[in-house]
Amino acid sequence: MISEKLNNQITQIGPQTPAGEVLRRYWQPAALVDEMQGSASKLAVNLMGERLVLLRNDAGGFVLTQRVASPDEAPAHFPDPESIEIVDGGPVYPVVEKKGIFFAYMGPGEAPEFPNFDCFRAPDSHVFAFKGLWECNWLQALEVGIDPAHASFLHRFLQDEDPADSYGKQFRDKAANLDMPMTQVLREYPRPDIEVEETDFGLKITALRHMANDLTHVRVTNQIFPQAICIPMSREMIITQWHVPVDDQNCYWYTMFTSFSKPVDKDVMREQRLKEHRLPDYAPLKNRRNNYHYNPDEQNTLTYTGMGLDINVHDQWAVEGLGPIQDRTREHLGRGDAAIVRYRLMLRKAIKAVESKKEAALPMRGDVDVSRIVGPLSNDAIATTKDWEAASWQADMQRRSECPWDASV
Amino acid sequence: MSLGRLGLNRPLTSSVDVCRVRGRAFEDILDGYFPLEESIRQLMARQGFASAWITLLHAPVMNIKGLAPTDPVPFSLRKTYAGMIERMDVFARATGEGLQLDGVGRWFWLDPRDEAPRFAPTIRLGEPAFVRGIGVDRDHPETASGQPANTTACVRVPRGTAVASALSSAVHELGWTSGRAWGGYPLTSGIQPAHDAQEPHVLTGEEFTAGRLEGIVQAGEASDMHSYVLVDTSPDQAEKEALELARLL
Repeated sequence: MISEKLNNQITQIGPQTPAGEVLRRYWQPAALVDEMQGSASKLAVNLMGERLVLLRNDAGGFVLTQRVASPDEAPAHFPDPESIEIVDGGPVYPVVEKKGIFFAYMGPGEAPEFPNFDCFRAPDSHVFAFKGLWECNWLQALEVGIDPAHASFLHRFLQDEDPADSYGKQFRDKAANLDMPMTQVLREYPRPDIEVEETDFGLKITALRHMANDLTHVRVTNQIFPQAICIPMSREMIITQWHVPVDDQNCYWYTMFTSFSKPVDKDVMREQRLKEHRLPDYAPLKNRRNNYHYNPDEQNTLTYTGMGLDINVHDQWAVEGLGPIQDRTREHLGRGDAAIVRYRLMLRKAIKAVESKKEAALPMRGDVDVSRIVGPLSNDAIATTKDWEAASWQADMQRRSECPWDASV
Repeated sequence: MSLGRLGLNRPLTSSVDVCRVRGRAFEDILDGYFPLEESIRQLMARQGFASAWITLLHAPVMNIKGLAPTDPVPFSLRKTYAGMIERMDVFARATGEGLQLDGVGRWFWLDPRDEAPRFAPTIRLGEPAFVRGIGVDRDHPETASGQPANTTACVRVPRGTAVASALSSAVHELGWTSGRAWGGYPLTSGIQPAHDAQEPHVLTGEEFTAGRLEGIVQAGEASDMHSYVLVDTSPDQAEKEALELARLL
């Protein structure tokens, strides 16, 4: 229950807004490399409340600058590249390409270095990037991803799929070394103990599901400041996902799927996701206007939401259902929302630091050597209850030691 | 503050009272929506503390006029009732009547008409708040002679003594190389606004290294003493987890 004014402080992202100024101190995903195909020299980008265009410059690099836009154009409007007009004298933001995503820096001063996260370290063959549009504020989109309990309800599957058919799908693999599908673990142990620890990059979030026979399922996920998460997808892959504001009421999720062992089958991954999205704006085909294809029969027999097997749709429904900007004057968090509470504290501290011109106090800014920030560890493991911490570490180390690229931490 | 009621008044020096106590640095989440004093009471019960220093940072608050402390919060919040604690250092201790909260802090209300000279303990947090602090255990608060060293201590310094010197001396006497201190604010007077020019004896986590107290200082009556809690930040202490937490406070 915070007032509308305090809610605006942490949700609004336009220029000169408190949260917007924090987000502008970090590299922001601006477009997929897939979107700038062939000889195209311009691509409309709608980012952080600004109407922009990605331009290929003479040196073969890219910059982001302002484009002429009509006040009534749609939030994720993608005009024909040939029709894009550039605003003379507008700001020019630096752009770099990383593993299938163009990142832009829209803040003052020198752009920070990129941390050495797995998604940036892995070879191109082992990373696949995609994005999707959600019609809601970026903060509620982020906060669902740092709530480890939601998966046991929102993503509850009443039947388990053969893990052999799980490639490229979240929560469909076996749980660690146990012959039990993740869907069963989430379903049968819905109330995890949640531990949250502040790190160099944000938060490490550990969910402990205490099972029968003195076993504990450990799921380690991460919040990467300011608005990304890093979570396990399967034993082979992790997901690094940014929730990037288009404006105050719309955002894109940008995901890097990073594989530790085999190269990512990008064709399969792209095909799976293009079936669920339309181009060029990457809007999901299931959405509020078609009630997310809600099917009560499916809800009775197969899924908690009745909205299909793609968990992205479940999350989309949950966060869009809160409205364009979640009304937090009506919100009641509990201590189980530990990661959300810790995240908001970090965000408010960062807002204060920027306002006080103490930007060195921001995570991954100042004198910190961010190139030394690796990982983050992100996995599922099952161990005897007293050994869960060591077992979680060991499971990640084993995966990294068997990895063909340098994933050492 | 009646340190004697907690068994903390065993003097180890002639001028500055230093008592090891069974306590620890801690992290926890204060519940939102209840009166602050109730959320802190529940935290202390959960942690097994008789008293605690607690630091709140960037915590939204609401002051709903006409709402009895035992009433549930309404479904939604009107903007005029909202505010924000920027930082607050609170000393909480159980009394016969309930819980006494004293301390200093910086906070603001969106509507200036809500301003008051003290932060009322019935004000509610607008959402749960992550907090860190130092707690003194409810059972056996004072360590007996011969027991292993602990990582916390209570210190009383006579008014008029140079506080920095006295606390450096206390750190030395405890056998630590460094420690951080909280306290020195008037007790039984509630939570007061911190001022830009904070009185030098009011401490909110300042660090002191071991040193010797020069000169003779007359010990005063309990009412003439400033009280502090010290937490060990010596790099060579045995309890590494406690050290890590103490540094985060």
